[in-house]
Amino acid sequence: MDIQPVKKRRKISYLPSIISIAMVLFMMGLLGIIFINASTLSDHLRENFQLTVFFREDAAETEMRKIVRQLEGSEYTSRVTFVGKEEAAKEFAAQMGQDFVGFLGFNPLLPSAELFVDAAYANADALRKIEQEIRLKKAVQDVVYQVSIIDEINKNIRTIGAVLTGIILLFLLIAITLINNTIRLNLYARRFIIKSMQMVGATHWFIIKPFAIKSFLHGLYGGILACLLLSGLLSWAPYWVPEIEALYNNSQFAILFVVVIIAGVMISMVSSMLSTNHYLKMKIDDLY
Amino acid sequence: MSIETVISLTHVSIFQGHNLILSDVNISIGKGEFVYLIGQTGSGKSSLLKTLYGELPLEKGEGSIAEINLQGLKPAQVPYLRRKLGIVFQDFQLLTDRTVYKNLEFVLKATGWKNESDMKARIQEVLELVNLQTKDFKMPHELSGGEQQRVVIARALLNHPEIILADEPTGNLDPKVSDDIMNLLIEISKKGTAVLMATHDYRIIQKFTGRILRCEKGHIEETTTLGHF
Repeated sequence: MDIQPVKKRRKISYLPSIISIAMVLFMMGLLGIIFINASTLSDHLRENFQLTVFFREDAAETEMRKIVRQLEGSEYTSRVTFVGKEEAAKEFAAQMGQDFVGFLGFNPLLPSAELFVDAAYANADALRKIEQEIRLKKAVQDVVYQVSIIDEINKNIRTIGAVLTGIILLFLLIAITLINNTIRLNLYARRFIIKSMQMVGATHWFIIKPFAIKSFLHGLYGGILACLLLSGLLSWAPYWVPEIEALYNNSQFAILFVVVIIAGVMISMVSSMLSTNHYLKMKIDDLY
Repeated sequence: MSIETVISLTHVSIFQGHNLILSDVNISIGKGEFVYLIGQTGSGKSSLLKTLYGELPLEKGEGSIAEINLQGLKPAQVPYLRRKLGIVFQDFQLLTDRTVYKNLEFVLKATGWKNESDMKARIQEVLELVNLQTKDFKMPHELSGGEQQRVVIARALLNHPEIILADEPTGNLDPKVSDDIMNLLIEISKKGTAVLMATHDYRIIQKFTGRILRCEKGHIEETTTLGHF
């Protein structure tokens, strides 16, 4: 009759420590998600950067095709598409919603090639070289791209990347400190129990074992709880910001979740074992 | 003196950190003896007991307890030393987070007992010895001081120790309850388990006879009179 409420009380007393572990891991995971999204975004932006190569009105079809093939073979190219005069007119008409060729009586558009460069070449210097190289060709009239955008993107990616990495490292440190402190407080409250266990002839390992198992479970529960919160957030975020879903990278999120759980278990177990050992090695008079 | 020696110390010096607490200690305690260790607070009674249960290292002299050599005792050997002793503390040192039964079960599991029904039988046995067989489901804080100390004595008896070391076991208890505890300890010693009890309770020493070792001015001497103590 008396045992029942006691058991209940004991279970509840561990909940705050599991929740604090979960909260800290959640913050860490959140930054991980931001980091993954940011790198997906930057790759996305860079790989979708395109140069448009306009050919001369009078350029021969064979000449243009040859240039496209040359571009396809270049190391800086991710993909190239040739857009012929008629095709360009069709696309433009679809965008305008009006048959402007019929209206004008002629097709003013030039044939072109859309060149998507590899992410590694998506910077102002490399693009200028590519531009110059292409401009040398006789059939080419113009090469157009927005150099200011790519510079801006690159600059921002570098800054954001550095800041995020810094924040993640900082958060990892905070996570370790907070979880460690939570566990040390838990064990501090049990320091006399640990000492009493020693007094009745229990070996160090026998005393540490239940604390290690408990902290393993707490880390695991905290990690799982954090992952549940994170996946909840991931599935809700598109309702607020629909564009964000395009950046989701599920395989990287899965790795992140595993990392979050392992981090929770490791930090929790290591600090619990270290603290228990600390109290085991202390003299009884130093405990007061 | 009895034939079988349970504690033997020769030319032992006891240090607390770098401070010399007791020097040239020579003690021999035989099976089933009841021995008081008296002296004022800070005279070194507790330090002597701590040396005997491996909390303080024996740095100088020779000593053995329950056939275990105290010299050069490694930390890893301390648990095995403690399994041969029963220790009773003034502040009980029960595991406050679990019931009386679980407290006793912890000791048995920690000292290598495996069989559940053997453990149950032994716990029942020691609780009957201290007359607490109906309170095994209680948490320590639900018991009175005297009851808690009886649980501690029951715990000390679990592994049939050769000696019980008691550090002021009646220090926190009122006279009536103290007498109960004393009767229990004396009964235990009559059954063959030696008891070494540190105390400064003048009344108890007068009421219950036993060998007296006096801690004074850094030495321990055998005495029959209480003198100015």
